[in-house]
Amino acid sequence: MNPDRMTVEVRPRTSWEAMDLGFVMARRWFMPLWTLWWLGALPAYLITLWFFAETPWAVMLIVWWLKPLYEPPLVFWMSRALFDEPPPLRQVAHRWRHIVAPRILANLTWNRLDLNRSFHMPVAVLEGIRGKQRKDRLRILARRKQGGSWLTIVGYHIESVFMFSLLIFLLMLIPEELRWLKWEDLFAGEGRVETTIQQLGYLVAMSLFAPFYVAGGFALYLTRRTELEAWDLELRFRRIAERSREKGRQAVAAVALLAFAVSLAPQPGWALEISREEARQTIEEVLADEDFGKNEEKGYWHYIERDEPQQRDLSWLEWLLDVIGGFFKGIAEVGELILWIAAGVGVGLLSYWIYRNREWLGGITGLRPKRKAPPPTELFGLPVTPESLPDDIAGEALKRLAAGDPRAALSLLYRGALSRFIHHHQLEITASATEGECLTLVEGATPRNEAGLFARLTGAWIHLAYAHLKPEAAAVKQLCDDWRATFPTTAGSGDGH
Amino acid sequence: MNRLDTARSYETPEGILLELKTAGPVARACAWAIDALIRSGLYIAIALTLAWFGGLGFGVMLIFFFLIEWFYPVIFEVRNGGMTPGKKMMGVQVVHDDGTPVSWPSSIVRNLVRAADFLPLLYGFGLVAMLVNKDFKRLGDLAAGTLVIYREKGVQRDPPPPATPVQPPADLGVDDQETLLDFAERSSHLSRERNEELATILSDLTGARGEVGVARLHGYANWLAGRRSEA
Repeated sequence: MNPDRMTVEVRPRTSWEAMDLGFVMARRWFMPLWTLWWLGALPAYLITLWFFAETPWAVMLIVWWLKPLYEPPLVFWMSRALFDEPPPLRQVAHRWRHIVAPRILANLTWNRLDLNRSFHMPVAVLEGIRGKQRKDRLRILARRKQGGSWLTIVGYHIESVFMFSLLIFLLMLIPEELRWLKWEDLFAGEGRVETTIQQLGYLVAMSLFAPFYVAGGFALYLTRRTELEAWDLELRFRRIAERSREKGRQAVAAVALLAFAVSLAPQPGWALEISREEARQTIEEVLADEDFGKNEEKGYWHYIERDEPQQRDLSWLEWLLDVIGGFFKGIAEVGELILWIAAGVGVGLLSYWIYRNREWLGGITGLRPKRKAPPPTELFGLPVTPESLPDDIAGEALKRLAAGDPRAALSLLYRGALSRFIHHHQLEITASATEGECLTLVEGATPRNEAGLFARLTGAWIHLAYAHLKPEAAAVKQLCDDWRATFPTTAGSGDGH
Repeated sequence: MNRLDTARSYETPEGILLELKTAGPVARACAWAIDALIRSGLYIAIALTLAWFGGLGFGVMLIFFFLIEWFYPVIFEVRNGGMTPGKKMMGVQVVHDDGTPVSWPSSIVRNLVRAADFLPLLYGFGLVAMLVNKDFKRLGDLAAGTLVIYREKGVQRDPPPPATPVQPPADLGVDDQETLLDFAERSSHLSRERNEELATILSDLTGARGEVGVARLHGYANWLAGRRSEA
């Protein structure tokens, strides 16, 4: 036995998996197995029919009972196909008697109802042992696992399903009007035609499932032996051994090469001496390998316009199409116009509605400024409340300037301007704002002259406060005058104090 | 040579090879029979309960029957890792062709197409499809792109028989190391002669034959199992 030649993947499996493996084998080898089964079953059926023509039920029973006669050849055939040597069917037929003989008496009598028949069959057919030896062998083989009986039980049902399905399917194919057979007759009818159909249906069902049943049992046996004898390990060991031998050979070759190279050492670079032509050839050979991409030719159908001129005069059709097209084009243009008008009216209505509801909209969108936080009392350390400032800011500033304190004057002007923006213009300046931010806010929300003045003020103030650049007295005076012109002292601001 | 096998392998984009062991008609028929028993139990219980409520009870009963008949497998398959109670007992589960857990649409499709599999009688077409298809798929599985596979169970492995750990030759691949471990773990189930026969195959590797070879292989296996000194 040489596991290398096995056509089946051997490895430890559960009984269920083993049966599945058998089914795969039966699928793969279905035709030879099926033929082998019929070789035994058909003669048996015909002979039985001859003797028991009057009792159809007996024919069915006998043909079923004689199954152990038809099945061993399948096992025999598979055991050879397993090692990739499927025997010709004729050879199996010749050896029929030898294949079927082992334990046939027991199998046809007291062992016929053995649920593990499929599993025991390979032992009888292939191992050819008897008596106590066989019993011991079976005990070892059957230890731990019992899948065979389930195979038989399920298999029996599958066979019945096959039979009834086959008959019903055939009946379904006959149109209702032509149906000469009633459903109930098909299964229970006792006429010659009905019973023959029943028998053939059962025979076909048995034949269809037999390869699977026998192969299932064979695979159970195979799997059990694999487990007991570690066939899979043998295979894998052989592979390892082969590889290590291979490596050994390579190592020897490498050593030889090395010795050769050393002996040639006085001529350095001998491996590089290769002509340009040879090199190109080698490169092309390497690049021709599939790994470096390949060319593929693919064909497809492509529409090519006909060269020949149109023979028939189709101008009337073109004219008609133009007319129809023009008609629809006209409709489309009218439709477009209507759309534009509708859009214009829609925009107008929307604008009007917005205008009517501007108050409310302003309220919900927050467009109208709303004081959320109380006005800041200090900005960058400078008090900006009206209370902290004199009424006549510009005048007071001029006085400070005259007293030789331009810093106080500028500070007063700057604070005054901020205070006005905050309290008169309701400008929302947060307490954390910087000078620059204040300027940006002011420029966005106040008249140009005020913003301009504020910009100058801010510039002067920043130079003074941070760069300590004293402004010229004239410039401060100019600012004071401009201040007075831009922010005339209103009665309101004076009234408060 | 392509050996006949029931496993189907699927390579993920990450280059991981998944081995899915597809389940055949016998295991699946048993699973179905268990489920059928459970369902019949449910039907009887519902019928006995609702029989007290006359016509209304009959109507409600029919609704229950409908729901159980069509959605019993779907709900269990999706919510219970691809396993109805029957499948769980048989150790099989439903997954997509690529081994991912079965989703609602797939499960619904495969169980609706059950009706086609059932024809002409008791899964006649389904059985034929399973026997013909290389992945044991019935029509519903073909339609939904699902597989029924054996669940991977944690295998109780015997420890390698005690032996002085020996470092194996360095050029053994992962597969080879696994082979050595498998051998050591299974060697107590093999006869002594068979053990020696197998060890002799690797005499190039171990430099020993027969009994000594077996011992050396066991030594390798002990080393591979992580043992370093004689315990």
